[in-house]
Amino acid sequence: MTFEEQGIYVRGTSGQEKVKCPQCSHQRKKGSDPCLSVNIDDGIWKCHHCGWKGGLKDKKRDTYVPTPIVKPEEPKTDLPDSVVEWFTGRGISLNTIISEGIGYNNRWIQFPFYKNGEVVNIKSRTADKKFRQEKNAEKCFYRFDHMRGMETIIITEGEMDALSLVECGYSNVVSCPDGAIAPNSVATDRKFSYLLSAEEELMGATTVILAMDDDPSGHAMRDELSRRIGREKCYRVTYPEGCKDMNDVLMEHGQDKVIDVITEAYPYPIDGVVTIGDVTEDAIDLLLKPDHNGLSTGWTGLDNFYRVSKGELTIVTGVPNMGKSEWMDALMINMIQDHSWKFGIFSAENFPVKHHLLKLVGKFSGRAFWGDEKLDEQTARNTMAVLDEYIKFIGTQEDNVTIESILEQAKILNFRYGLNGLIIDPWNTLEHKFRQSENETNYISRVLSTIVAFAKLHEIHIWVVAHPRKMEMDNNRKPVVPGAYDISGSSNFFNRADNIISVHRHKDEDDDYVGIHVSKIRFQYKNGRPGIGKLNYDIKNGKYYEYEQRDAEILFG
Amino acid sequence: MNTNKEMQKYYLDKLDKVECTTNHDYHIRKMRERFYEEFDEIWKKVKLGKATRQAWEKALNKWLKMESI
Repeated sequence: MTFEEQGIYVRGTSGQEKVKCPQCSHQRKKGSDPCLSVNIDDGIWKCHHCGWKGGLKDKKRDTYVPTPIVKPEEPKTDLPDSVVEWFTGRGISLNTIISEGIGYNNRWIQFPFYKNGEVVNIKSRTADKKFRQEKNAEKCFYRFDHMRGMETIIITEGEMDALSLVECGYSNVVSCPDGAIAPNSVATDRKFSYLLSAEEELMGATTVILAMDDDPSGHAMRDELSRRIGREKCYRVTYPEGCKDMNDVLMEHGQDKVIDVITEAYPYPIDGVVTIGDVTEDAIDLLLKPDHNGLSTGWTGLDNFYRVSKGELTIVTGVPNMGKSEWMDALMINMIQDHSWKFGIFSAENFPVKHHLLKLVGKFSGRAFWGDEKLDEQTARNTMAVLDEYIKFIGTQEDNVTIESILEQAKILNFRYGLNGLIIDPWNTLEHKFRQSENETNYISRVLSTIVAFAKLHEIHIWVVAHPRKMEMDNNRKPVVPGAYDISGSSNFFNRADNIISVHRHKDEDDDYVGIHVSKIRFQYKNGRPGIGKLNYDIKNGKYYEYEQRDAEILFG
Repeated sequence: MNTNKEMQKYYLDKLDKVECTTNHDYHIRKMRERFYEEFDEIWKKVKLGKATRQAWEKALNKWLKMESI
């Protein structure tokens, strides 16, 4: 028996707590009064109001059970004159206050969050900008019901900005429940959990206007939202000088100016003509950032040749059996461990997924996943639990996986989890659908353009593993490292990619190492210069280490 | 026992049960440190009433899992 089965919801796992009584609280005038004393350690309780008491047979609960989502009651809407005056002083009329069901309780102004006609959350604020929300309430957009079925949705940072737009006649307005995010902070999934409930609405909309505050936090929020929703349909707004949000515009310039700001919203500069003015601020940001280099791959020996930046395409090639996929997996694990990157991965040659997962566990933990010294079950489980947050396998259910289907799944994953990297391994297992009268060269050019645009749009780094055209041998009958123009298909691989890498194992009597041959880097000022990096491979755990000259026998047996 | 003390007890109990490994891999150490810092931040926020107990517990479990790898 558990406390939950008795209708008692405690927050902790031990000690004494006072909570609502399931027997009498719902009938009482003071319904929120925590009249039931619960001793969690002894598993007993007593209500100080109705006298109900009892105990659990098995006493203390074994595990912590999350508190269920609570629906708050509708707020009282009889507002004192001073509150109405406060709103009208900010340009919000009594009609809007009434239509939006704004409430008031003991100096707190209450903004009810309606979803499917029911109040699911209440955000309260005081005049001096103190905020609070209902405990354990559902997270969703403020005015969620108003975004249903809308082709255009306007998203603001706060409730007052949303109300300012409602005041000016816009109905399709919502606002974020938790406001903005700190600049340079990690955009956690929890912070954006409210997006999940609005997935259908945001995916279905053709235009999303992001009217966040004009400050660093507002910009960070706008950028992350646009990244997840898809920049192709996101628009930005420009506020008149001296105004930082919609409510400021309404107060300073009136309704006509608010309408102007929305009417003049402009798309993210993703394609077509970009003026210098469009990108000046972004370029200055780049200039002023303390470190605008690409991220290290985790192997310092490669830092001079290849670093990873957002929104780029890297083509990885190499002779079969030289470890392209292995190195790709190792790079992904390093990016997860060092930079908390999240990945979507299509790896057809590693199906079924359970085998692939075990290989990744070995790389992550640095322990062998086979043989006598293989890692124990608990370590494997813990590793998988950690990896679960960072890796999503895609394209596993379909017979004919196309680039389009992979990008569609990646788009959804990005919306839900905020992807940073996408791996397509390998190119030749995809089903390539040529258009009428399209030859291979034109097809590759078109598809690579789509991939590059997707990478830039969503700021995701995409790696495509592609086989070389044919294996060439040198005079000693050893395979030659394939160059950038040797990739099977067309020279478009070289032209379209930002970076090109060949993975090649060099083995002779004196040495045995994996060469990372970087033959193209588009942005050399931040991502390194073409050259050869060396790594050692440990076959037991599948990890690559910084290069040390060793005999072939010691490493590979 | 107040909430803070209860959380401390819960934290110490959990810590006792964790078998920390001797894995000194650079990348794992880096990730461990990051998870610990995230947990520490959440604990500070819980004390200020800006984060929930659930988030605290999730961050704790995440960090401790990493300690045992």
